[in-house]
Amino acid sequence: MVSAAASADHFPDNLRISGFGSIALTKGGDDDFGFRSNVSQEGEFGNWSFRPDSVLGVQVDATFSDSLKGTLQLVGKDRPENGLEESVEAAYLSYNIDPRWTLRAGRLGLDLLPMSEYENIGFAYDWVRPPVDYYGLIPFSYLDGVDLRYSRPAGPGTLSAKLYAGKTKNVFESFYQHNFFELQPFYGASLRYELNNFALTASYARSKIQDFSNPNVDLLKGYLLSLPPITGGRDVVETLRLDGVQTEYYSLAAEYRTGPWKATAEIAYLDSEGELFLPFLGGYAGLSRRFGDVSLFGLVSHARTTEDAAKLDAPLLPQPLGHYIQRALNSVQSDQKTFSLGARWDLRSNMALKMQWDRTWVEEGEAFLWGRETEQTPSAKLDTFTLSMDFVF
Amino acid sequence: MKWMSKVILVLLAYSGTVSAGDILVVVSKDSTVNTISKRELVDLYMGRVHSLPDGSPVMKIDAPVDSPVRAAFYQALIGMKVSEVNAYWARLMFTGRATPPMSVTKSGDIAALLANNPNALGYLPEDSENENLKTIFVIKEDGQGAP
Repeated sequence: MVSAAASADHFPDNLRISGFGSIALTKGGDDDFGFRSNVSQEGEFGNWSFRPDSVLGVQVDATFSDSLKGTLQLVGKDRPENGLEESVEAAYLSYNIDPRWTLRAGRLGLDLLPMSEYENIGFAYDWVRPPVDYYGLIPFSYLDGVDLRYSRPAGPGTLSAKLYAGKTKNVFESFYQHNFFELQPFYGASLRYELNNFALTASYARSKIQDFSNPNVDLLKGYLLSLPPITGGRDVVETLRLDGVQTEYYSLAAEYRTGPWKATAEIAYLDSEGELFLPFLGGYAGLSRRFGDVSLFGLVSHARTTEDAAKLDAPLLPQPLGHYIQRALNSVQSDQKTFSLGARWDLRSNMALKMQWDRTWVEEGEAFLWGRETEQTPSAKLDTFTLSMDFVF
Repeated sequence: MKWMSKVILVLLAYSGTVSAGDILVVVSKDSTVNTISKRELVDLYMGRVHSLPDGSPVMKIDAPVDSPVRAAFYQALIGMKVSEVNAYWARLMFTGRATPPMSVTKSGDIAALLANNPNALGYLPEDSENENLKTIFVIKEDGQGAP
């Protein structure tokens, strides 16, 4: 954005190139717990690494007329699959119907959780990443579809609303295996009220899981279906089913700024009927205080899956198969809280140096957010250190 | 010890609050706009509305990124530092909510851009009045605005 001026010199007026990035060095986890900033990563086991939090993005905006614009955004970061298709995080046409209504179609950012739409842009917020406790459970960030936005002055502030529909897909990693899934259809709405120093956001979304695939689960299902009906194999396949499972997302967020102080709080709930994708409830609160170019901040966050893992009731199933399936069901439980302290130093008006320390308490056997060899993890106290250079251009 | 007091004096000189005198919010003399409220100005420069109050398109212009007038403008308008404004805009522009003001590289470019474009809106330090421009709002040095 700073070089938007430079761009104006070098490119035609109707083309604008800008970008963002975070060069982040993170040390987290230990021998048994691999730190990951979301479940699509494999995890880093106690070593310093650029992988969990580094991002580089470039955006091209083209203006075709007063009301029609096009945007393409390419983002490079650690992903299980990293082709061109995955790297395109935005590619859409935007049409201003009138000053209040805007329609967009293509690949769009998804504001499922309050920070999700801009979580790649570290420069836009103080912390080094959104709180992993629940943001880490949502490994998708875009929607292929349409959205309709409305905004108008309301009282002393501005009210905006968005409706969207489409589909998304992604991969999450568990025990070094890719789990592919699609969410289709995916639709939702969000509402935001903003004053100069206060903003309130609420959102709701709904989707259906489709085309879930994991090589082990697929093999297992095939085998279970080949067993005699008396073993209950078919019921177990039903327990493992994710295709067609409906998920719903709710979130609320508030931000408040007064003088050098800034406070943020969020709460989010995901509802799901799938036994391999449990509902969860999470939230965080953060406070930051600016001293000139340096902000000091603290955060607390907590999230847990709100239902216990399904208990397999199939005594006639050959052991150790039953045991193995029970372990798979147990593996998606998550319960952890984190306390973080950090600082952001604005070196320039478009570049900031950030550092953060997180202490996370993970409950026994509920470490879905961590890379691991087994789901039978002890309760643990883990520290994560991050040093990050964030910029926009 | 003399050098030390000099250093301190220099540091003090640069650490004070930004002061650039009054700031004039200006448009081309051919513009149909004659006045704007502080609220409308904030809404435009913070990307909450995308057109002038009468619905006509607008081209917002920002002073050079490290200029004192830009710092003073945002401080007076919404009490934010330029880096905070950039962080705020990073959210809007990379999520496609709004297009940020066009930032010029040289202060001298603003008057020329404004004079040649009836849709353009910008701001200048008070000493840069120009016969091709029309002042539609004055941000007083104390942060208060007056049309």
